[in-house]
Amino acid sequence: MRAPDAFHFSWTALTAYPARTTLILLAMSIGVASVIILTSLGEGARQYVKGQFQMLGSNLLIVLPGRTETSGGLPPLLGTSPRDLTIDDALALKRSRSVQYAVPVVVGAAPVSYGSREREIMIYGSGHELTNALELSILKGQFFPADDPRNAVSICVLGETLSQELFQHKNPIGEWVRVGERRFRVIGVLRKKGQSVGMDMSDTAIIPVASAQSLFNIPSLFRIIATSRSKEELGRAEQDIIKVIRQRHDGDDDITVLRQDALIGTFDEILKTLTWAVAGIAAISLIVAGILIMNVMLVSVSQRKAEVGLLKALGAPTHQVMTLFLSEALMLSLAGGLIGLILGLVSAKMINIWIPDFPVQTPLWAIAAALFITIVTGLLFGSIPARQAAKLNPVLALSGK
Amino acid sequence: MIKLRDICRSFEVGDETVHALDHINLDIAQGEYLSIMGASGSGKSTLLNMLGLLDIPNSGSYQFEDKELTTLSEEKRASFRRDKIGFIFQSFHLIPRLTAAGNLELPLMLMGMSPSERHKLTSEVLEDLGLADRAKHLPKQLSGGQQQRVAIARAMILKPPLLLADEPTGNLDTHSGTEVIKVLEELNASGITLLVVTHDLDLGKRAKRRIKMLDGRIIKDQVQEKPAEKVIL
Repeated sequence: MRAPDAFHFSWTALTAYPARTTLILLAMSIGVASVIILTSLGEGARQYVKGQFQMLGSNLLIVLPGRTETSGGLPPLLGTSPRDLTIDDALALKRSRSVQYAVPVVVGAAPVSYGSREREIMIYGSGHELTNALELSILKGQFFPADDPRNAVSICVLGETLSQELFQHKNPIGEWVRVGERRFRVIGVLRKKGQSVGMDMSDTAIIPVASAQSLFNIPSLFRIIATSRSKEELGRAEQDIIKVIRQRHDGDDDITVLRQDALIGTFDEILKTLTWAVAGIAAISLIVAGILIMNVMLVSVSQRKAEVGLLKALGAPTHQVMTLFLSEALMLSLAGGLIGLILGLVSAKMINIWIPDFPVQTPLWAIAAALFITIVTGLLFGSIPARQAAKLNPVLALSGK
Repeated sequence: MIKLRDICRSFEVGDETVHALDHINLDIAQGEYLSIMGASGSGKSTLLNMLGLLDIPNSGSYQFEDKELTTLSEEKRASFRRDKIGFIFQSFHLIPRLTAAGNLELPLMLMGMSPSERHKLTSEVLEDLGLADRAKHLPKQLSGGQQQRVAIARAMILKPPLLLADEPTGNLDTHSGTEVIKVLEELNASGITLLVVTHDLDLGKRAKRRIKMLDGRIIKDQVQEKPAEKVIL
C-alpha cells in the first residue's frame, strides 16, 4: 500500500467523524500551545533579565566588604569584614592599570521632598564617574562635576521616575529638594535604564558619596563599583582589586568581588532551568492529549470492527491494518500539533504587542520539542489501538463481534 | 483446484467443545458452481471461512492449486487471499464513508496500485456493471442490489479464481436478488469457481453441485446434471 493512499484512507476516516476529530485536535493543540506560550514566556523572562544586566555594562565588578565566596548569589549585605571599605580604597583602585573606573557607593533610605510632594526612596551616594561605570545617561542638566569624592557638596541628580513624581511637568534643574534633613540642588535628571543589581536607578536620588556618608552617618562604603578597561581584562582587574585592597588592609583578603558576567550567567542558568520546568509541566498536557487519542482510537476500532474484518478479507496483512490506524493517530497528533504551534506563536506575538517591554521569544528548541513530543505521543498512544485493530480475528470482526 | 482433507475445526464454548467442522473432505474443481446448505450451526460458514483463509483448521490439510495453505504465515495467507479469493457478504460490507468507486478501489489500493491505474480499472468495471453514473455515490445512496453489485465487482476486480459468497441475496428483494445471482452465474460461466453458502433452498438448487451439512459434517454431496435454472428467487 502506498503511503499517500494510507493517509488518504485515514483522512476519510477522520473526516467521517468530525466531532471526535475536533475533540482530539483541540486537546492536542491546547497542549502544544501551552508548551509554546510557557517556554516563550520563560525565554522572554531570561532575555529580559539578561538584557537588564547587560545594559549596565559587561565589564562591571562589584566590590563588597566581607570575605564571602559568592558567585552570583545574594551579596553579603552585612559584611563580616574587620575593615570597612573607604573612599580612599576606591581612589586606590583607580590607580590600577586594568581598572577603568572605581566608584564608591553608599546606599540608604530617606524621604525626598519638593514642596508638598514627598517620596520615600533609596538614596545613592556616589562619585562623578558613576554614569560612566554604569553606562547611565543624562536626560536633563548634568551629572556631578569631577571633584574630590571626599567633598560633601549639596547637589543631587534625580532618577527620571522620581523627577516626574516630585516635579511632574516642571523643570527640576536648579530646584532645591530636601533629602532627609538636608537640602540639595538638582543639577540633572537620569534617563531611565535597567536596574543596578537590585536598585531601580530611575526611582532614586544620587548625591555625592561624602554627603551620603554624612546624611546616613556611615563612615564606610556600601560597595565600590568598578569596571575593567575591556571585557578581556575583567579577570585581571578582579585580581588587581583583590591585590590592592589586600595591601591596604594589612594583607587581609576581606572583600568579595562579584563579576557582572558571573551574575548574568547565574540568572541565565536559573531562568533556563525554570523555562525547561514550565515546558515540562506543559508537556504533561500533551501526554493527556495522547491518552485522549488512545481512548478515542480504541472506541473507533471497536466501532469499525467490520471495516477491519473487511480489510483483512480483502487481503490486508496485519501490518497494513496497523499502518492505517497508526497513520490516523499520527495525522491527528500532527494536525493538532501544527494548530497548537500556530496558536502558541500567535499568542506569544500578541503578548509581545500587549507588553512591548517584555521580550516574549519562542525558542526554536521549544518548537522542535513540542512537535517531536506530539509525533511521539501520537505514535505511542496510537500504537495500542492500532495493534488491537491489527490483531482482530477477521471472522469475528466481519460479524462486528 | 481445492483439496480439503480431514479438516477439523472446534471452538470452546464455555465448558463445551463445539466441533464446527468434523473431518471434512472435499474436492472442488476449477469452474465449479457449488452451494453449501444446512441449518444454522451446521458449519457451512466455518467451512466458507476456512476456504477463504479467514480461519485456520485445528487439523487437516487444505491444498489450493496443489499448494498447502494450512502452514502459511499470516502475511502469506493475507496475500494469497487478496490474489486468489473473492468474498461476497450478505450485508455487502461496503465502507460507508467511501464512494462506490472508492470501495471498488480498496483491493487495488491494498496491493499498492497507482491511482491512475486504479481509476482506469474501476471505471471500466463500473461501466460493465452499469454503475458508471453511481461511481461517486456513497453506499447509502445506492439500492441494495447496486450495493451488492459493487461488492461483487470489488471481490472480482483482481480476477481471483475462487469466489465465496455468504448469503449473497439474504438482504435483497426478489428482483435485486435475481440480478445479483445472474451476475454471479455469469462470472461462474466465465470460468470462476463459485461457492455459495445459503439457507435459501431455491438459491441452493441453482448450483450444479449441492452440499448439505449437519453438525460439522458433509452429509450430502450431490451433482445435478440439470440445475434448477427456472427457480424463482
